[in-house]
Amino acid sequence: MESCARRRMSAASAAVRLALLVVGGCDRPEADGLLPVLTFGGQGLGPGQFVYPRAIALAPDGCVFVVDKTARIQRFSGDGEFETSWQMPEWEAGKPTGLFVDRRGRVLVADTHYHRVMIYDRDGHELGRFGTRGTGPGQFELTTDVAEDDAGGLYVSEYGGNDRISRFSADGVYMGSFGGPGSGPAALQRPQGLVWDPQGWLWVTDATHHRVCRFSPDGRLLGSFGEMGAGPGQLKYPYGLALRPDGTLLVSEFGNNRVQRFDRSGASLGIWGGTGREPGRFLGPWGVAAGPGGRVYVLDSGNNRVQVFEIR
Amino acid sequence: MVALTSPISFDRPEWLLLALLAPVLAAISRRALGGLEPSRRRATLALRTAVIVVLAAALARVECVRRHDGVAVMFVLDRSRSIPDERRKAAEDYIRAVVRDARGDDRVGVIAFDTAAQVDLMPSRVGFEITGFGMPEAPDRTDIGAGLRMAMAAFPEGFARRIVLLSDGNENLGRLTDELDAAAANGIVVDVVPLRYRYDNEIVFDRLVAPAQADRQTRVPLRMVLRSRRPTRARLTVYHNGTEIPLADPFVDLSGDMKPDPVTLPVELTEGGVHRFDARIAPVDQAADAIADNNRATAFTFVEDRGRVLILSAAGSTDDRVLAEALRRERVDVDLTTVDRFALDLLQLQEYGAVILANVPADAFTAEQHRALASYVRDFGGGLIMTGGNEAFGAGGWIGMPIEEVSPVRFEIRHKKQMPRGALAIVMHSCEIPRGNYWGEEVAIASVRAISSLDYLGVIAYSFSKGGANWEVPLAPATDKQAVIRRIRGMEIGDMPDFATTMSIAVRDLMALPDAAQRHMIIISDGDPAPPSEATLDEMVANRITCSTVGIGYGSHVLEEPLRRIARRTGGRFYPVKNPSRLPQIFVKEARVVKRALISERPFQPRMSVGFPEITAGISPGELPTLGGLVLTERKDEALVPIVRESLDAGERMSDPVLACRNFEMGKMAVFTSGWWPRWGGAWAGWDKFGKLWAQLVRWAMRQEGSGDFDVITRLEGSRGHIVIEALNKEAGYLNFLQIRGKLMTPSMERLPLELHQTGPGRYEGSFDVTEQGNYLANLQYSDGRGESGLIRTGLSMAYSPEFRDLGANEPLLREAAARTGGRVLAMDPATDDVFNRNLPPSVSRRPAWRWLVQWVLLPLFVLDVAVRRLAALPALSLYVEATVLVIGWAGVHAAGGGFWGYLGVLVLAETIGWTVRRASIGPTLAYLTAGVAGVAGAGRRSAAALSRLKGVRERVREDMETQRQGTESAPAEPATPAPMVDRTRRFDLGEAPAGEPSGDLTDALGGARAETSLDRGPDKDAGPGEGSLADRLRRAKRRAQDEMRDRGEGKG
Repeated sequence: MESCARRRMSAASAAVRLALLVVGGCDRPEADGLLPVLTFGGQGLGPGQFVYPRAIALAPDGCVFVVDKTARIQRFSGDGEFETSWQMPEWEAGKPTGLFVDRRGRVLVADTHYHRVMIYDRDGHELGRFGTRGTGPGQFELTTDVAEDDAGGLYVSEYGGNDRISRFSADGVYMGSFGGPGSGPAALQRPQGLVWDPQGWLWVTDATHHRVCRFSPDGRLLGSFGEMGAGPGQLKYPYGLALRPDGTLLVSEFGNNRVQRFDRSGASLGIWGGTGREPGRFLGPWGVAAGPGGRVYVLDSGNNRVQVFEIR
Repeated sequence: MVALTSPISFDRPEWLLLALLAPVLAAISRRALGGLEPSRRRATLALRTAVIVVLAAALARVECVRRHDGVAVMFVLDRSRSIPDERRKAAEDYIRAVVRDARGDDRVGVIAFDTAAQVDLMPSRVGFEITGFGMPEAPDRTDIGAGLRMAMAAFPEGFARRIVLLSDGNENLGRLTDELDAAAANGIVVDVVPLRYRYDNEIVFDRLVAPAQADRQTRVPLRMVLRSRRPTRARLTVYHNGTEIPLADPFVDLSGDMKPDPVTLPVELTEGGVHRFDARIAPVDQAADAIADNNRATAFTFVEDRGRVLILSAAGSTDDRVLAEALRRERVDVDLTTVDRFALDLLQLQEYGAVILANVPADAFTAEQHRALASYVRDFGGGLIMTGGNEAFGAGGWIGMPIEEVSPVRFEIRHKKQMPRGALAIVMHSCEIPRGNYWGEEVAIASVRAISSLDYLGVIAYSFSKGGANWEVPLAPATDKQAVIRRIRGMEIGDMPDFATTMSIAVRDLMALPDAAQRHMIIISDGDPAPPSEATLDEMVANRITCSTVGIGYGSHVLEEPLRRIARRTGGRFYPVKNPSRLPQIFVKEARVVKRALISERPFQPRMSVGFPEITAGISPGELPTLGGLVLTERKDEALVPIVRESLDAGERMSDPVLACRNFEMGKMAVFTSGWWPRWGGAWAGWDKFGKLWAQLVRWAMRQEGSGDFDVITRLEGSRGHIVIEALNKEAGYLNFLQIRGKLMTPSMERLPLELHQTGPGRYEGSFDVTEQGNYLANLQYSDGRGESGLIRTGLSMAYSPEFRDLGANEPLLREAAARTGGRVLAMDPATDDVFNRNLPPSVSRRPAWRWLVQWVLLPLFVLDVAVRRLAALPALSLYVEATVLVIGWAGVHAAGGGFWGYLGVLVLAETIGWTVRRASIGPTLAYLTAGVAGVAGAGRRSAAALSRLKGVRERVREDMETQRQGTESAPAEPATPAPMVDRTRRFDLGEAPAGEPSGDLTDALGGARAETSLDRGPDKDAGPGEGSLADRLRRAKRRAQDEMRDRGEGKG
């Protein structure tokens, strides 16, 4: 009798669970860890859609800028509403892979395959451009990202043989460069992401050395963390980098399809993501940006979307 | 397909007849369910009927039919050369404005076409600025039908569909009208925007007609037809085999209004072979002409010739002079040249009766030239002799080329046991250039085709969904090339962060191949992944792995230096590629690197294996000089192999072809797998019968010239080529009832059948489409059915793209397209055209719903059917009912895209039904619970009373035992009565006495199924046999069974 009753109850509970599956959707296995509070994008050429986006940046006013492989820069509200877009002047040779919005709200584009940095206002009007191709001082090979220090000075990262960070004063005067290819501890190989730390440091994702480096403004390597691997504290092609107001760093790993959070000493505080197309999973995330209210914008490039998470 | 007006339809409606079985099954079930209460029986019957109906619907492949309101517009844009630039730009501006100004949720896409169609914009939501259109890829021809086909395939689902065709309507490839029926049948409306233009100042060289065939030392007329839009004066220039013919008066007055102005020029033909004529017209007043491309015409005439031989050597080679001189000594007409100085095409090859390819690698020719060589033998009866040296046959990249099919030997080795293999690893990087990944696939496929099937081939790329660098095509022998090509087509080529990881994997796996004699790597990239470390390159050098790099980029933006460095360090080559269409050729060249294994450099004594008098007459078997090496090939069954090398392969005697011959369709081909260059054939070059052997070989292979008794006229009318043959015999009588058929080769080396039909006494005509610029060549074979036959070579030439023949839009065709599909002719005004209007056939989409029906309706109903019959307790049953309503209801709301209120409504409904079911059992449940509580309260009292009763029983038992003991001591002992045996078969024995009354009515309390008569009442005396409750019948049946078992047990005992 007792077993009969148990069977009845288990059958009933199975039916209820079945019903819940219908509502919840049975084709969505849960992702590891966090689920996004918001997702926007989708594949396409229409407004608000992407074709393999490769860089993301947040403006001080909360707007989100994304550039994709159509060489189109799109501006969204913080909630993912499409606002405007514009096209890079040239794109046949290749498309940008870096975006940065400075304190004045100017959008600085690392126009990678044209070896330069383009400067726009938030509506896409060109304000200027700088950089020529070469290996000399102030010249670039493949630009990847831009950062701004507290004094308004700019840092530009590049690879393709130069693999260095060049520093410019607020009025655009070349101040020197550091990093470079080679085998020394400060040598870089494909520095893909930059972020300025108000502590007076520049954080750099040294992508193919699978590490994150911390430099002083004058280019001294102050420390680094990470090694090739898929465990906590390890990295595989770290591309995107963001600094949260609480001083923790977010690193998007192109090779591990995940985002990892570190403190300033390099201790891993958490990981989320994983390979896949489900919410909370990523395919080749090129970029990450930290927004207000604990929001984290992850550029899920292979899935042509931006996933927004909230981290407390 | 049955489409109902309701939102569902059935793909196989015949299965709905199954539902008719429902009443029959209900009748059968009614008897079987006789033991259930009427309400349950009714419910069960209803559920079973529903299950059968749903099953029938599922088997009938029920589909959900949805009608949609949105509109998807595909712009199909003509960007062939006939559209003037300003008209094309206006069309693009029009599309841009329409897309930008549209609002709402409609979709728009852009397909552009010329020779082929391509997607410029995948269907996207309207209301954005199109930033750029693609560039014309092959604008020399127009295939409007291809544009329409692609547009129809690209429409998104769930939208009413409209195509807006922007074109001049001049097509010269495919047929638009073939696609219109498909569009109309699919409810796709084609609106048209005629791109109108008119050239008021234009001169056209309409045609140049030369006789298709002529005798040597004759004068033939060249007839030219010129046209002009307005009267003007122009200068005529005519070239004969590249040399200008001096004209007495080169100026021609053109009458205007596009009237034909004929000009005739007699030309003396003194030499045999192919005579090419090239005529040009140039207006004196430049303003009288708008399009320069159509001011030219070409023609050619075949003049019968003594057979000549062409020796084609590799660029820069002088090794073949010895052969040319030897042949000349044998009175063979020989032209000796190198591939870089000879513009090989099918027409040029017609000059020669035989061609000798002397140690020429395959990559010296384009794909069209390869096809021309094969066609020269197969279709035009030419003789081809391919000779060795280390750059020929498989070692020269000829594997898989069209000539291999014609050849008497296969160029790759399948049956050798001891054969060193090559290994080729291709590293693919996603390039930034347009269609970079497409070209990546093409080069990988070219490599697969060129490589031997015994060689190893693998393609490695970066794939983020597969965990980084990954063999997209595993490194393995390319045995099944089609399977490898299919894998390549499905490759995922991602952004490779660095070369080092990928190259390390490739090096590791190349080194793991024990039997690879050559290991080679090819990297295709724009150079932007981080370069490999010195250690990686050192490892490659140490392991003798060579690496060639191909830099694909736009302008100067490819990062060449890292790629150059890799190639330099590892002994490979660097190829800067600006034009990706060259890539496949490069890869054929690179694939040769791994095929050195096909060269055998070991001196041997060639042996004459079979007699082939035409070739070996006068040469005795023992006098062949030694050779220093050969390229390994494999003879085909149909080949004659007069000379072989004998060798041992794993202890087995093998014969490798040295000289092999074969007839193939109209022509002949021979191969000599060794060479006469000093390293291999020094002894042959000095052999006194060298010239004799080669002269005999060449004469065997030489084409047999055709009949000269026929007059052949070719002419071009619009986009049709015509061949007219006047067939006369030697007595000038008509030759009737001939069969004349053969092959036509187009300029792109497409091979088409061609047949001429008799249209008059001795007159035969045939025609064909002329859609390409270049030479159309036909080789026709005639026969009279009585053994008389011969060959006729002819052809015609199209000097300029057919795009330049039409000087205005073909509006009737465009209007027909609109009329047949219910479309409109638009004015090309974004403000008034209203391309997103809803005046379209509604969009209906059908989705199969049978799986959903089975999962979410049939299964829950089936489970409920079981529950209704088996579950006695009403509360439990009510849960099942609730769950079933919830599952079916929520699944329905989910499928319909319902929102919160839908789900809530279903929940309320389910609860209502559930509580309705369990309402009847609420009172008894409460009573039972009350009784339970009261029972618990009186438990102590009952326990004490029970204890007291137990004590009394124990006392009585003790007293009885005492009494018995005393009786036993006083009375004599009697045999003990055996205790009754327990009948093991009576497992369900209830005893003869009726079961005791339960303390409360548990059945009522739990709401279980009530039998009409309770278990303790016994059979109803008034009921007939077979009547009574189910429990009664069960009990009677059980007793009968027990009795029978007991009887059988006694019978056995």
